[in-house]
Amino acid sequence: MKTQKLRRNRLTSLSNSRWAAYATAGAATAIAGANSAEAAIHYSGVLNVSVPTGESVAHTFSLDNAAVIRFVNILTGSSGPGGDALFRIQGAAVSNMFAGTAAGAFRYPSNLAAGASIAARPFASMNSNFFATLAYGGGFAHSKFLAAGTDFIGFRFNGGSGIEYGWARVTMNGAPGNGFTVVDYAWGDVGTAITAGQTTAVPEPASLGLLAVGAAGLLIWRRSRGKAAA
Amino acid sequence: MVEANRKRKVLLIGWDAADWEVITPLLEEGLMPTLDGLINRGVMGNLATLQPILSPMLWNSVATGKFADKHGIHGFIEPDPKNGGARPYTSTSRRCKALWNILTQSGLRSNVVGWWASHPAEPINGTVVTNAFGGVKFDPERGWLIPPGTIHPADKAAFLARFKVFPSELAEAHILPFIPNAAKIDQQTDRRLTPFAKVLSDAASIHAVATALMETEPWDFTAVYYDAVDHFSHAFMAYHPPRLEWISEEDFEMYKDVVKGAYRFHDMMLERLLQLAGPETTIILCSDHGFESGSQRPRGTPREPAGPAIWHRQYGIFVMAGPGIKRDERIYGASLIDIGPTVLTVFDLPIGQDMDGRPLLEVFETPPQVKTIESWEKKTGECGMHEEGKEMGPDQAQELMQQFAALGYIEDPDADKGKQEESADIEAKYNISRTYLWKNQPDRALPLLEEIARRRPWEDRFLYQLAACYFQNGYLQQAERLLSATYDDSGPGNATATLLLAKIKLARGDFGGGLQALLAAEAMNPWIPGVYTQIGEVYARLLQWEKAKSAYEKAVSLDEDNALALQGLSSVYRRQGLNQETVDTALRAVSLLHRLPLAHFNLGVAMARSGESERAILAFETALRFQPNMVNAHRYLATLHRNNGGDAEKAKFHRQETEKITRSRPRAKKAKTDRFEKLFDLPEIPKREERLKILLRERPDPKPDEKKSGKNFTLVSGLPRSGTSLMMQMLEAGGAKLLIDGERVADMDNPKGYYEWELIKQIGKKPEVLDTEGLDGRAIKCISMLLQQMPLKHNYKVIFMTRPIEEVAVSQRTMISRLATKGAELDNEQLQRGLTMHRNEIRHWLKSVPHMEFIEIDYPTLIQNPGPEVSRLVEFLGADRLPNSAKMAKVIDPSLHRKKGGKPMPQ
Repeated sequence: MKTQKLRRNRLTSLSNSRWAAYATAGAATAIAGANSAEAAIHYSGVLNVSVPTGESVAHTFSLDNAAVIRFVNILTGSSGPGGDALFRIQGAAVSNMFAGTAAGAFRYPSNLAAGASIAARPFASMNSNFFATLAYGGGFAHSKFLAAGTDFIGFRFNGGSGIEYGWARVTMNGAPGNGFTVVDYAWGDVGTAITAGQTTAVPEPASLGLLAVGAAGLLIWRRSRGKAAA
Repeated sequence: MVEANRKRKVLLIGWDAADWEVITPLLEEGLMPTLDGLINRGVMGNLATLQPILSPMLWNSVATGKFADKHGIHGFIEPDPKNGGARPYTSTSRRCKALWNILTQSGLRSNVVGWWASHPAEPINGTVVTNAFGGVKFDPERGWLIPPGTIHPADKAAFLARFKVFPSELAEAHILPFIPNAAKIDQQTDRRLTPFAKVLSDAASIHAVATALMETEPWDFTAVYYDAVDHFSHAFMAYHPPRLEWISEEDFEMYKDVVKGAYRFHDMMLERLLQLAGPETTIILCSDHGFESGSQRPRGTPREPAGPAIWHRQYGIFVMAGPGIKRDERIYGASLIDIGPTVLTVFDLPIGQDMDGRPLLEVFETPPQVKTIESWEKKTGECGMHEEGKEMGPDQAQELMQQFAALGYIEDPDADKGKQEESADIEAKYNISRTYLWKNQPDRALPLLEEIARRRPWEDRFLYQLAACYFQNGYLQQAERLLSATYDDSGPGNATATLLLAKIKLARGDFGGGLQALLAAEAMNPWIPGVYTQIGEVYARLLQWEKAKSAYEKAVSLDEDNALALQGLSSVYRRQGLNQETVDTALRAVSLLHRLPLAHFNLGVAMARSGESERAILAFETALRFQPNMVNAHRYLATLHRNNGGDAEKAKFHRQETEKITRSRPRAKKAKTDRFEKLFDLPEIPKREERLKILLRERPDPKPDEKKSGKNFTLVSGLPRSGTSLMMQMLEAGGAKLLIDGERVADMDNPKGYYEWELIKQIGKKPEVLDTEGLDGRAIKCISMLLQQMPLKHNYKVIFMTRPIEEVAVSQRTMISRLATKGAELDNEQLQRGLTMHRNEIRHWLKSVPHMEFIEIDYPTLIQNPGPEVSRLVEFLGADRLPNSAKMAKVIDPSLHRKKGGKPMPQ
């Protein structure tokens, strides 16, 4: 079993500090910040917290640095009977923003697909008192979560130590009631790139380091690539 | 059988072209920590190279301990006796045993990976993966192709082939440490990333194979050769800091880290090798030559075979560490010819007396007793060399030839066979003549150079080398005559030939004329250290010590590793009575190049004057080893042995030698001066302009800017079985003009016919088939393997069909098994991996070339919903090429898509 023998040896290969030394100097600035070894993603686990139409109770979930995200559904009557699905991020000392747009006093988060890079989205600040609208009754033009189905909300916050990005996954029941379920959420430490739905900081293996390990490293690299492509 | 020391293990690592001048700053910055550690626990030093500085010759000298005239590898290519034309030098051309043969004979096991001219693999005790491993390929129609002879034993081929790394497998993260701004490169206009990826993936392949063998095979000796430092340096050293004035700032910023990254990557690979080898293994890390990295970097590369060698520097690197090896010491005067004997010494095996190198005894804490035998060649017994008459197949030869041509080492491999054969013969003779000149055997070089100068009197390098050879033989008049025939009356006009002219004048005792010529050479090129060394020599002969000194110092300031200039300086200091300075400079000189009798002599004199008799004796004896008739060394030794109260016998011997040499001197001098005026026939030498014209004709720029034809073809391509025939049918229905013949008729696999044009398959050899009138604008079916061979002078619109790989694989297996070709033996996973790799490779390539535009059409999408795909096609090809586009979708017969889901339909 030659290959097994090769694989057993893989972790003795190249120290992290070795790779870090390699990566630091100007040559490698471009990959710094992609996913460093210390980066971590905090994942809520599956929550499936239901937010039914007109419940009017805000469900609050903690991030770190005093930041929280909140969800609520209130009844609305202005365009016929229905529910108003709302989202808010607040509490971080420096900034609290979400991926989406602002229109006057109103805020509209974008619905992101799984795998979307959070940091790459345009962000808007929360209005100081209001929640942002996911879906409003039968629908206004700006609401992005009117359709039934599962999508992601992106957010970012800064408690003073730098920007942290995260996502929350919601399953919408559809207009006009717009009841929904908060499935789960996650955020990454400062300097961690995160994509919608990503739950662990599987740092991309130090690719060049793996090549330098030779046979064993090459097999690991191919396996990880295979998974990424699958 | 000679019993070798079984406890010892040796790992020999070759880094082609690694140079301390690049490494030292990286060590100081802490960027090569593994190498730093190795140096600290071992010895290091310069490794003097041999001439000519051509890798196949040098690495075979490393492996055999013999110069090229004995080992028989005389360059990159040789005439092919079996198939005609030329072929790369192979292991069958090597005329003597390499280390792995000697070790086989001694009952030891070896792994040999990537060594120059090791193909086809020799049947040694152990494993050989040859320098043809880069040729492992995947062909979508035939499966994995491992050139026969690449791996010994052959049953390891399948296991090892999977460690071949393809350029398309590399990701951003592999490239960014070398080229941080790679994303900004416009690959349509800047192609430097393509060779970069190839070099990196080749290095990764060699390393993966080497580590796999070290982990899975028992071994006593492992030799691994990495060519990447050389290749990265050839491609990117021009951009290495400090920026050269002719390199644009933009290019400099983009590529300045490549060489640095290459060395650091090697340091990382070294870490793994050392880890696998373990502390009980003796490690030898060496390079065959250095690489210009400072102000001496050449501005261009000469238009001649092996022209890139102009970048190579005289000194490579040497590091050795392991049990019984000194620690943290520097050694001096090692040459790459000494590696082989040193390895044998570690194994406690005898050195062949016919070897040209010596074991580097100074590296051992306790120098071992060296055993010798007359010759390993005479030793009988199984040594794993090829049987007489074993040859490489023509296909493999061609493949290797293409690789060398891509590196610029050989001329057009597609030239006609007669021409190829002639070129190979001439280059081999030229190279070996330079070996003779370097070994100071000018009489053996002379007939070879006379022959090639007659055959190619339009090549200046042959004429110059012949003149230098006449000079070295003492035929001054003939050398002068050849120079003046070559350069008319106007003088050479180049510094090298002017220097030779100066040397001739000096040899005749014409110091005034010599100095004048030297000053002329200086004016032509004030950057050649050799000019100043010569000027220094003239002033020294005229006893103008201060002027001599400043000339030598100038040479050292241009090249601080110029051993001859340092030797000259030591002579000046000796004549001035400055003992300390003499010792300093002489030691520096011999540390760079050990064979410098005069420097050893100077050292001896300074030591003798300082009362260091024993050291003086050693220095004089060393001087005599290189120049046995150095009369003053004998004189000193006679005196030293007499005065030292020591050795009357030795004193007597040296006195007698002194007398003998002194007596024979007038005779020797007469014989020498007789030669001066001797004349021979001169070849007919065309005038300078005429030579240049012939040169340009015979050796056109390898990448001519071929004139664009203005024609634009449509190519329907993709992996076999991915819907190319259907696309051809659609184009036909749409009104496009096709280029097809009826040779491969419809069969069960392609019920509606193949729409092929047979001639396209020969496009590589016959690019003119597309030149026929009236073909412009036609659509041709062209399998993906052929895309890269399409002539550059036309433009192409490529419709690249894609289909899920599983479906392609299944479809293909069905067809292959019906055709009963050997591809049917492929296991499915391997087939799919290969197909994926091949497709990525081609896509990657399509994106990077300017003569091809392409769109991808997904076969299942096309079948399910043809409308949008047809619109894309019309947009891509233009409505004028598809006047009836409305009819295209009607061609589609959904039942054709029968391999869906990877399950073949019942037939």
